[in-house]
Amino acid sequence: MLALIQNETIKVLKKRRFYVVLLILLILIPVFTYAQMKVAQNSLEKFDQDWRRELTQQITDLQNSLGSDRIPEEWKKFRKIILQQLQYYLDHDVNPKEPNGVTFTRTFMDNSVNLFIPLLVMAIASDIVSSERSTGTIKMLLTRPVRRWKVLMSKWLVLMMFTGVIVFVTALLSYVISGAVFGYGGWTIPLFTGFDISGTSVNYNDVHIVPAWLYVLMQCGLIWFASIVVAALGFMISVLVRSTAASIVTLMATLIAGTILYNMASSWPTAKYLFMINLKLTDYLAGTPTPVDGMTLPFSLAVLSIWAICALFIAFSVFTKQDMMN
Amino acid sequence: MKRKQSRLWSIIMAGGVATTLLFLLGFGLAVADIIAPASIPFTEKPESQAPIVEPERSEQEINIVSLGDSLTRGTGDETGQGYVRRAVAQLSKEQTKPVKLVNNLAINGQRADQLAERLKQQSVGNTLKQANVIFLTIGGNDLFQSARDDQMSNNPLNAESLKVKVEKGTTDAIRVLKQIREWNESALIVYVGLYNPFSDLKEMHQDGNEVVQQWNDTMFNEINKDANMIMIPTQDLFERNIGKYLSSDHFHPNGIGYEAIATRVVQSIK
Repeated sequence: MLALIQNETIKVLKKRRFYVVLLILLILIPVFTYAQMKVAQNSLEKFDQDWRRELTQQITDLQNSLGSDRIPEEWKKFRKIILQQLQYYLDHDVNPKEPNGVTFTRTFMDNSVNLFIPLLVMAIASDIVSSERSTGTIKMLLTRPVRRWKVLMSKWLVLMMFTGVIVFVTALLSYVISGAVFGYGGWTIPLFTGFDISGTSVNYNDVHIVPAWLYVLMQCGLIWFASIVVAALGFMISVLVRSTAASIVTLMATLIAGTILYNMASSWPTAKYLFMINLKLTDYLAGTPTPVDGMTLPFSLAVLSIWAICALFIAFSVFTKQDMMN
Repeated sequence: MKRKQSRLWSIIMAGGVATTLLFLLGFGLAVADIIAPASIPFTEKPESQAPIVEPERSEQEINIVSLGDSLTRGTGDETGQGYVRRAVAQLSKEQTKPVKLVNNLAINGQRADQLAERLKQQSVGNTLKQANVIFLTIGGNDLFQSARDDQMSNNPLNAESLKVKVEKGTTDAIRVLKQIREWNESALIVYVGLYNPFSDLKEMHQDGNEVVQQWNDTMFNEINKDANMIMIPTQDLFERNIGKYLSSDHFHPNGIGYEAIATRVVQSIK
């Protein structure tokens, strides 16, 4: 089994997909860092580095937008909740956006959980089986005296390893690169979590302080779980679809459809059973309102687990029974 | 080549196992913390009493905080500046000290009772403490918010109902003045008085003017008690210039109207 895993890892490395992922990160993170630096400079000019003033103005502006009839009700609800959280930070004299490498990493990971990181995972997942079929090397692999499920299992384990590495490398690179601009501190700044949202009001009873390092660790854990689910789906499609391009397009279309649906899900509650709507697990940590009312972390985990288990089940049963030789 | 590759694969594998274990830990902690808040180590409950920050007030510069309703917000001004930013710009030309707008806390549609409620917040107080000049407009919505609705429903405004609103509204507005003074005992408070936006309508000319005057009189009596409060009249500015100074919503000033208010404010306080 270990030999199989070694073999698969070398194959993934040889295909250089992983280096492409690293390259994408090395190009995109500096771009975001630069954009973030511009935002910081702007607020420095307007508020001379006084975050309390900036936050006060942000709260007032949010309150003003609530009065406008042109803003849809769902957005108002969302803004009302964000407003109450910002007010909580202000009242407790904690800066939620203190500029440093850790804050950048936290924001960047929050924003990449439902599309960016899944896309990177897919780059590895989508061709892990299908490429062997399109090049014909699958025959070589399956004529060896090893059981088919073992072959597939080694591929799945390798994919899981790479998923962990990708999430870690994304966080690490965004910390290292943004830290060069914003400084490497900020591991111990306090953050609030546990905002209990019901309707448009926020219940503060369960709010508690989490140091930034623990927050980032929990956040990465949740992102990792979401990525494993995406990897499982990509794995299944890779087994079912012969061409690598087709399997990439299928998953990409699903993920992008998910981000579009995310904004419309409030008027279509059944959408909460789709895996794409549940990928933003970090929202439960930050206390951001869910796209559909009444979604909870256990619910999302259950939905995601069922999708992943079904995907793996289909992948294994098809792979062990299908005629691979054509 | 072969040796290099075998090293790389073992590094990736070790990294994969290590990160997987690390994230499993993070995932477990996150699930535990979300399901049972603050049950994991290193978390703590925030202090229920927020620390009180005493911001420093500089006498070397003019720090302006503005609050109130849509007039202070600048609604209707096509450039979005409102009288506040226009006054800040004019004042910077007149003054040798730097002039800074700390925060504009105005909210569209805010009534005096809502502002009084908001002034109880520590964070609003902290902002006010930084000011040496405070701009305030309040009352337009107390008087005319429902008046505009009444007009839409063909229910003509009557002087009686407006007078009741004046009484209620000025009580709240005076409370607002007192609250601001409690937060900041030394700043110059500039109250911009009401105008009658309907003075060009025949049925609203006389009654509306009377009610607005009554409001302004009540406010003036209160403001007069404090040497560091000043009232800027606007009714005389707008009375014969409704067409020129009001924006298309026939309620808020336009850019020229705001400029006129700003000029008056600056003339009075420079």
